[in-house]
Amino acid sequence: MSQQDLTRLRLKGVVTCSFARSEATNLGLYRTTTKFPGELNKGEAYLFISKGGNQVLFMFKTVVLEVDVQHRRGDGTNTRGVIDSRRLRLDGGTWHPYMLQNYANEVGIDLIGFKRFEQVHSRMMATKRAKS
Amino acid sequence: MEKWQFAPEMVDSGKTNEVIVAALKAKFGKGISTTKLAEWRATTMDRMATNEKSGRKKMRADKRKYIRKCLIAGLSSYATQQACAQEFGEGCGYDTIMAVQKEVAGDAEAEAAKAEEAIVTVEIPDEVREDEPVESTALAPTVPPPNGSLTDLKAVQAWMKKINAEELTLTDNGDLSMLVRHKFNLGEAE
Repeated sequence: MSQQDLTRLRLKGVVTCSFARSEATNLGLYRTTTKFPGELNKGEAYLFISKGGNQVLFMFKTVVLEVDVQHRRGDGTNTRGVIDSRRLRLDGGTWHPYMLQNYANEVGIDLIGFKRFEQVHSRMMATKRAKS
Repeated sequence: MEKWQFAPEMVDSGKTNEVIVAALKAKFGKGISTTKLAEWRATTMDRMATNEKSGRKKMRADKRKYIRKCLIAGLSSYATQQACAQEFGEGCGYDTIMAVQKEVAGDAEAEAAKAEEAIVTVEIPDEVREDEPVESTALAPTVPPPNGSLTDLKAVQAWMKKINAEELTLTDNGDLSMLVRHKFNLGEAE
């Protein structure tokens, strides 16, 4: 995926939670915590990481969809909130914070303010060389 | 109705032994021993006491539930007492309200702790973050221009270098403003 195709997003919060629960439940729990950064706006995302560390999930702003008459709610409203997310299942091993931008790029996102692993690594190597 | 059903009912209704024996004799042609009546009476008293006790117990539990509901709804202890009096015909003690209040607060705390435990915030290391760009216009309005004038380009360039500014915003008459933007390239000008 080229850099132009990526959607630029700002990461609003990173949390680990059990993926045995649904995304809606996890989001509800996140809302009750003291470190909840606030609701998502357009162009923002949360990152949920599984307890085992082998799954990362980018959650975006809840989309409101209109539903037809047959699927209206009891109160007569015809809109539904739909959680939009992208999940990566890592094949072996666990996630690493240095790889955040790489994971995001894989699901078509460019995280604002984050470096790719290659950049972090080269910077670390340069610092190491300068020290020695 | 049989004799063994009729007699306990009369005991329950609070009739004396003489009245019961007379009634039984009239209905069934035979009385009953006072020992048997005393046994029935004892059983009835026990049952009534138990019923009253369990009724009271149930009411207390209901009342507690109601107090809890009131407190969660945000009512004050006085308002809760009033609401309780209206609902059950009798108020409730201040101690009970305090105890329930403690339970409610404990529940909220436990729930929050549970959520905190379930969702753990992750701190991302600074190495991954890109270097923050320096806000170039932040310094310009706070620093006075050299000699109160911005007409001498060389002086302005030297001043900008001194205050580490890359961009300057000024109006045509030399006042600082956000309306007209002029960019000075230090390298090219020299």
